[in-house]
Amino acid sequence: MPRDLAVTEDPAAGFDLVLRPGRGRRQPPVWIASPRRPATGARPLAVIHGISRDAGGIAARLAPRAAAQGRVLIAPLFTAEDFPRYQRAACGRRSDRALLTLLDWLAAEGSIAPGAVDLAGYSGGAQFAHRFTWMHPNRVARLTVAAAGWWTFPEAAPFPRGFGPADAAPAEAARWLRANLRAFLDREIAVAVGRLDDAPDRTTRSSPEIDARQGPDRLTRARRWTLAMRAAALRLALPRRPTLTVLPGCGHDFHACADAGLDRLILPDAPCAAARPEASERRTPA
Amino acid sequence: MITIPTLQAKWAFSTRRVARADAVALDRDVAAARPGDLVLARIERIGSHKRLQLASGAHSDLWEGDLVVAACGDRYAADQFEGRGEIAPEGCDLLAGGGLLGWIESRHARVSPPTRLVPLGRPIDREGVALSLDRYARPRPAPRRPAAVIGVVGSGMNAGKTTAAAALIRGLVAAGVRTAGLKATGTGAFGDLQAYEAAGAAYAADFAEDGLASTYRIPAPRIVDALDALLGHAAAEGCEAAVVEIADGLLQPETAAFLAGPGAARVGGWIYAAGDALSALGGLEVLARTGIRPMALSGLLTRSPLAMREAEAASGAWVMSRDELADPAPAAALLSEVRALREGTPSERAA
Repeated sequence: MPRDLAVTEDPAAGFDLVLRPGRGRRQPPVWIASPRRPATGARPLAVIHGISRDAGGIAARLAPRAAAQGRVLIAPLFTAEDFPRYQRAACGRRSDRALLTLLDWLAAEGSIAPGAVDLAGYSGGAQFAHRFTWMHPNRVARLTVAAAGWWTFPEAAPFPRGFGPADAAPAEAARWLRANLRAFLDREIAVAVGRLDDAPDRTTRSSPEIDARQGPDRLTRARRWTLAMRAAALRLALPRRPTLTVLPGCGHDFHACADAGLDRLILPDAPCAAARPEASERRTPA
Repeated sequence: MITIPTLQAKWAFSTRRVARADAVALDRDVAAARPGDLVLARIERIGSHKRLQLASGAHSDLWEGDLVVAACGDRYAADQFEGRGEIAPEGCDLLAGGGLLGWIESRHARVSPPTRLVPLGRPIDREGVALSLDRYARPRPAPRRPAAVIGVVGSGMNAGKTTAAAALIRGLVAAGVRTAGLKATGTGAFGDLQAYEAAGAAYAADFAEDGLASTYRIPAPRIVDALDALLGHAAAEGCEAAVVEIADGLLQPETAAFLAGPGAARVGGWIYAAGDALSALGGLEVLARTGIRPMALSGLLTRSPLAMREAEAASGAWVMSRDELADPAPAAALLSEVRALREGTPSERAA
C-alpha cells in the first residue's frame, strides 16, 4: 500500500494535509486535511473538484476554515483516466460507488467519523455532488453546490437532464432519482454561482434541449434549477427549500468564489444548524 | 444432581437460547413433548441429514450413537420433508438440520429417508418442568418498529429469498442505513441468519428469539406477535430499516395467512423472489389478490438474463438482480418508496 504524501507540516496551520494514494477505479486518491484539534461530533466535509481536477487546491483553500471548526475535510481526486465522466455520478465507472467505498474506508480506519458527511462541489463537482446526494440521500447531511455546468431537473427528460429513461448506464439510474426525490430534498441544500458567471464558455455544455430548459449559462441554470427544486419541495410539502446565493464580483473561478463567500456557504459558522426557509435568492452570506 | 447425559450431547442450533444448566434430569414421557419442547435423543441411523447445526452455528457430522438435544417442532419444506412435531417412544426423525424432531409425513422423491433417532426423554429442571424454547424467549421489547420494513416473499423454497434479502441488506447498509435482517416464518437455520450478518445486518434474528421452534401450523396471530417482538428488538438496536424474509412459497399456509392478515400491514413494501418468469407472473397475480404489488421482482430468475427480460416484459415490474439489490443507489430508492408508501405522501415514481 503506497504511503500518504504529507504536504503541510506547518505547526501554525492548525491542520495536516496529506494526499492518500488511490486504488484504481475502486477508490480514488484523496486529499485529507485533519484538524489538530478535532471537534467532537463534527461532521466530515467532502469537497468535489471540477473538470480541472484541482482537488489539492480546493482542499488547501478550505482546510484552514475546516480546521478552525475542528472538522476533517476530504477532497477525492477523480482522475481523467479512471473516471472520465465522474460528474454524472451514475456513469459507467460509477464514481458514486467509488466515493462510497472511499468514505467507508476512511471511516473504518478512523480518519473520518462514521455516518453522513456534508458534501460540496464546484462546477463539475457540483454536478457530481447533487446527483450523488440524490442517489444516496442517507449519506449526505448538508449539500452545497456551486456553478454547475448543467443539472438534473426533477422532470421526465432523459437522465442526466432529468429522471426520465435514458440510454446512459446504468439504465435504472433515472428510476433511483425519481424514487429518492423526497429524501434528496429533505435536507439543507445551498446553491451558489458567481454573478459574472453569466456567459457560456468553452466548457459550458450546450445543446438545444439543455439551453432551452436550463438556459445558456451557469448563472441562469443555477437560478432555474433552484426554482425547480423549490417547486418540487413545495409540491412534496417539505419544510425546507434550497437556497440560491449569487456571489458578487466573480465569474467561473473557485478561488474567487471562495473569497466572495463560497467558503462560508460550504463551512457555515454553525455547521450543523438546521436550515431556515429563505428567499429563493440572496447575496453573499454575512 | 445431574442425572442425564446432556453434557455430552450435541445441542442443536434450535436450542441456542437455552440455559443448559437448567437441564438436571429427564422425563421419560417423550410422547408428552409439544412443539418447542426439548428432547434428548440418540442417533440410531444416519439418513438425509448427515450433519447437525450446533448452537454455535458450526456443523457437526453425525455418527450413530451420538446424543442430540433438539426441539420438537413441525416442518414444512416442499423440497425436503413435511413433518409433525410429535415424538413416539419407539423413534423419531430429524426433520431439519437446525435440530427439529418429529415424524415424517411426506418427503420429496429425491430426498433420502430421514435420519432416525431414539428419544430418551425430555430434559427437565429442578422443579420437574420440561424445558421448552418459549421459556427462553428474549424479553419483550417496547412496541416499536424500524421506520422502514421491507418484506421478501417468494414463489417457493429455494426461489432465492435469502439471497435477495441479504443483498438488499447489503445495499441498505452501504446506503448508510442501519438495517436488521429478520426471518418471520419457516424453520430456524443458522445459514439464513449468517447470511444477514455477513451482509452487514446490525441485528439478525428469527422467530426462535420469541420462543418458536418453527412456524408451521402455528396460528397466524402468534406468528405476527413474534414478528412484532423481532421488529421491537430491531428498533431497540437502533435499526432504521428491517428486511423481513417470509419463508417458503406464497401458497404455504402460514405465508398465505400472513400476507392476507394483519402481518402484511407490518411491511411497508415487498420484494418478490421467483424461480422463473412464469412463477413470477403467477406470484404477482396471487399477491394482487391480497392487495400487494411488490416494488420489485428478484430471486433465482435473475441469474438468467433471458428470464429477467421475459419477466420484465410480461409483468412490467422492476426486476432486480442480486447485484442491483446490493447496490446502495437502488436500495436507497426502494427505501424511499417504502417511506412514501408508509407516509401516504406523493411519490415521483413512475407508474
